[in-house]
Amino acid sequence: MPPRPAKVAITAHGLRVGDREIPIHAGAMHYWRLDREAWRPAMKELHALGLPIVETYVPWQVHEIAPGNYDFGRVDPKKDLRAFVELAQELGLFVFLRPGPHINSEMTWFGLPERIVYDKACQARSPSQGPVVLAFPPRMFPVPSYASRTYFTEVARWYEAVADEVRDLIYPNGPIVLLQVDNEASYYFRDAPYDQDYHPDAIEQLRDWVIARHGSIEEAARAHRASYTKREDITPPTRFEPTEGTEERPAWDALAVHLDWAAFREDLITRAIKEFKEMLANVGLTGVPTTHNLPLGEISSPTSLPDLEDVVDLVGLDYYHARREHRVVKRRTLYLAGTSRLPIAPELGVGAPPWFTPLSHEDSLYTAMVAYAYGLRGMCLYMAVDRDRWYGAPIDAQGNPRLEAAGWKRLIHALETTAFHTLVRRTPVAILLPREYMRLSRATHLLGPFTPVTVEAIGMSPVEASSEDELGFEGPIQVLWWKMVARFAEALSARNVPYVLLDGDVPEARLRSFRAIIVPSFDFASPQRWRAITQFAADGGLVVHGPAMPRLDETFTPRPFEVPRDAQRVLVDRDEDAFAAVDALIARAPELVLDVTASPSAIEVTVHEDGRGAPRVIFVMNPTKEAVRAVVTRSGAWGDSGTGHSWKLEDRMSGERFTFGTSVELSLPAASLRMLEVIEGPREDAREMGRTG
Amino acid sequence: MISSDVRIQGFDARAFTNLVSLFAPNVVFRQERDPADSDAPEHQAAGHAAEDDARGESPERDGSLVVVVSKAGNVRKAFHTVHGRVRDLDFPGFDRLEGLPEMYGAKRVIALREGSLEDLFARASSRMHREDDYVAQVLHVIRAIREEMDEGRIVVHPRPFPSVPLPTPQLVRRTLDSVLPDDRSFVLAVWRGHSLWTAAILRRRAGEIDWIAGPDQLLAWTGPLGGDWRRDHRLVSQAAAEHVAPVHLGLYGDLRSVRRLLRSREAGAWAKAVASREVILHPTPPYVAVALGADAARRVAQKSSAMFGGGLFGGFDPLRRLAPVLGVLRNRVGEVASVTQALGFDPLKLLAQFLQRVDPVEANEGEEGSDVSRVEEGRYGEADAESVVYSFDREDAANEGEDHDPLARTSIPYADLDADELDSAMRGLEDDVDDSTNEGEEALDEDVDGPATGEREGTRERGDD
Repeated sequence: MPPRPAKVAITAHGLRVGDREIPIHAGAMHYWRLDREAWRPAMKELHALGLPIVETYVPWQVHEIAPGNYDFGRVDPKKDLRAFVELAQELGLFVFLRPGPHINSEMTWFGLPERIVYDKACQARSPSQGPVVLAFPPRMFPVPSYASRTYFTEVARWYEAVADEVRDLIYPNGPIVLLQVDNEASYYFRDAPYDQDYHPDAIEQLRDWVIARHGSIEEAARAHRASYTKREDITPPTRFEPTEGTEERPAWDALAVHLDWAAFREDLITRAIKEFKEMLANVGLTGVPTTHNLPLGEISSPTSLPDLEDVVDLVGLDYYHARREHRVVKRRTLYLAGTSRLPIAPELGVGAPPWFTPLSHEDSLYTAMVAYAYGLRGMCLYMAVDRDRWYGAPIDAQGNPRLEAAGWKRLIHALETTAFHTLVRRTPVAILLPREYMRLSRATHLLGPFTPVTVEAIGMSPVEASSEDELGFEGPIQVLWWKMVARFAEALSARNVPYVLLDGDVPEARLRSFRAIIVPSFDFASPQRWRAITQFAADGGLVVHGPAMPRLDETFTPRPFEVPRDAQRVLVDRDEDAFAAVDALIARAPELVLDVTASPSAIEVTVHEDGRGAPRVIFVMNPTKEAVRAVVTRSGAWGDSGTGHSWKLEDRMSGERFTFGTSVELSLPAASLRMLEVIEGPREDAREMGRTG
Repeated sequence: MISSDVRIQGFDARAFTNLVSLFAPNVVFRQERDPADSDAPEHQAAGHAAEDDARGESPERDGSLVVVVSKAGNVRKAFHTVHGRVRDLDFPGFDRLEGLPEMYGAKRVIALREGSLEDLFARASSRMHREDDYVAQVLHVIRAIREEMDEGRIVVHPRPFPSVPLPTPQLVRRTLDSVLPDDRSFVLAVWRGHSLWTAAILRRRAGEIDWIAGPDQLLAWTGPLGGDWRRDHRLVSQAAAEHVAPVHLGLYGDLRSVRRLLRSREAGAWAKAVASREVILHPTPPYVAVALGADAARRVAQKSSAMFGGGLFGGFDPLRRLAPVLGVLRNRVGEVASVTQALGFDPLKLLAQFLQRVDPVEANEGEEGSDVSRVEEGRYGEADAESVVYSFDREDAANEGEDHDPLARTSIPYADLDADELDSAMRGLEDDVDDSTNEGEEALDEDVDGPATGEREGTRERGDD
């Protein structure tokens, strides 16, 4: 079936549907978990929250009643997917459909039929060819392989069944405007480097990948310091066991095979998502943007967000955080804002599954607002409507709004009426996260199935479980690169310089949107990326890098690396070094500093501007456990220049109004924030800023 | 134990958090600990505390770990779960970990030989079968952990698990049979003021917990409640029976009382609260009656001991009060002991611990923390070792290193008793408990605490009801 021309597209701000642009504000509602009578009131309440899109998974496990035999409502009315989508259309909602195959959603087999997870041909394999078991309640189960051809064949049948139900309901014929491909593709949280996947189909893919990457089997052998003579000689490493190293053959000489394995595992996921997407298109589920979502732990993830965005239109991050994790939310959003095409949260946790540490309503709302403060531009409330194995949704399972719905309604209304999705947070500085170092950190992970993603997701450093081996370098690069990132993040924040985190895999063109880039650089680096950095510097961008100049490529072969023009090379051994480097950077480009500051120092401020550069929304955040009287001050281009002209601010959650002269004093309870709309700003005669609400 | 189709529904965030906070207060409090004051929490950990300040007392020592990964005697990684990376850790070897928790401000140290976690998961995975339920799966994992520990590949100091045999899934199921039989429900409903604060209804079907319903669900069945929990509890119980399953055990009360009881170590606290209707337990299955009886006996023994200066329960003979049930138990000691030994743990003790989960702060400063009660506990320990008939498996308890814990001695077995026999004994016991509690309380209150108030008022209320 030839693809139809796109009537729905991702824009810089949201979703273009026909001739309208709407923000991606969605709410999750699982039709098969609700009584049919509850569908209509629940959907109405979801709409009343201000959400234009209803999102749902389509669970293979639920619809398949026997192999190849599906119930889409003939037996159980709750399973009538088509009726659900048509009801959404009747009520004026768009639909975001997520047909899996993996959906998690606290289903016992993560949405897969039990026969699939126990089909050995479908299962991922450990190094010893055993199953790879995920320890989730209420049943631990062997996870499927992202390489298994048998699995793909089964998924194709499933997609065909889904398509038969809703193919003709894709926009413009129906309300479906977004399709998600699979879910949280991180090897089902068994993501440790040598956990999986040693499935025979994966090993075949590896061989092709290695030969393609290095150009020939001979070059692959050279890179891996191995004696490959034929394709079958290429085998995956099963454990990281560094050698002692000698002067002639340092320990790093044996690293390429591990970095290749880590890179291959990223590629394996990307290819699987690509194939799933093609399979969806083949059955007629096409013509609207596709998405994917990554779970917590994205820095440690064996998945490349930029690579995935080459395959699907949009990749977002899922958020499930308590208020005390303010800075984790901040860091994750800065990574998303720097790296993704459009920063969205396909799952912004409202409530949580019962098996994890409890989250309160306040936690969820605070997390959403902090994420918006740091650059989020779209979200799906997960869950908007309550369901089995979940607590805390703003709408109960009968379709009644809970008390908590009011807070969400206010926030969504504020986002809508400020056209927040169209605003821009200027971030002139990027800290680059080189993929080769991320891969080394994963390859040297020492806690096995207590995986890197798990370690990061519970709030520890992404490199916390990486070894301390120096591997023949002057220090453990797998740990030090992150330490440098963290020190610069600290210094930039302290100096009020807005920044983002930039995945090393982003397209080169993305670099041009920054004034300055900070690049951890050690003995080895990706030559391709380094060329991008030197080009950025040649074009006038500011580069801060260090502590070393690279001299080896990713196969640990010596090669020349050009010094970026006017680059500032730094040795960041202490926190003060990062502060000094940032001060030097500011001296070269004073415009990097935000013109709105806050005191005391724990208070954070972000400013979101409209297309003309006028401030429209200011977030003021108090992440501490103490109530604070904060003073926010404006200066520079946004100062009053002695005119005495004041801005007028309105807290969009509380309704309070403030006059912002040179400064404004705000009370902030513990772990709280204010979303302040600038209703009269720095424009001539303080005219009304064109509020839409 | 948990059905693969388990339904958990009907909780808003507050009701769920409230429920968790009752049984695991630290889990909820942990969410409220200080946020990081650095832009990158891991940086703060790595940059300051761990490397510079880890050697020394940490306010966050509770629950924190030092994890050491070692290969051939060399430390390949060490980190503190709160403070992060620990450089240049002074590792004395796998068999000399005693000083490390103190040295690095952690509750425990876990030393891992490199590769042990991978092997542990491989072991557990290889034993799992498709038909295993979650309990069987967890037991596979625990067994694999123990094997790794027994082989010295994983060393934890102090060792968290006692060296008791692991139960089989069948034995766990049999235990559950007694606690919550098939097609029966357990109801917990807690009020705060006039509002339902949290609630949970559990149902067991086909041997497994298959439904956990929360307050939303409950209120949909009952309609608005009146606000007087002593009256409302009947509506709750009826709704559970009608919509879920006949109620096997129900616990109803206001937040203050339930929270206090769940965290109380005070002997007799539960028996007293039930007798005075501070909380309502209804219905009261035999095992709960036994537990309450034991609880009352402990209370009586303690008070008696305190009153008369120690010795064999002072002048008070709890055996007389417990005579009906103890008569039954004496005849069954052999059978029951075998169950406990086979299980490797005492189900009732677990229940008692469950009911008396202790908040570490409150345990030191709570309402039972007076000097008098501390002295009493010590004396009770002496008396118990000699005489308490219902602690016939104290040898097991001693082996488990739990002889400091009076709860370890409340091991009254129930699983194999004839139901009629036990019910009859229990009825006698319940009456006796009421009498003995009140008698003991009155005597003590007059002599030690002054005139009694609450308990006797509660008793009157029960009579009036």
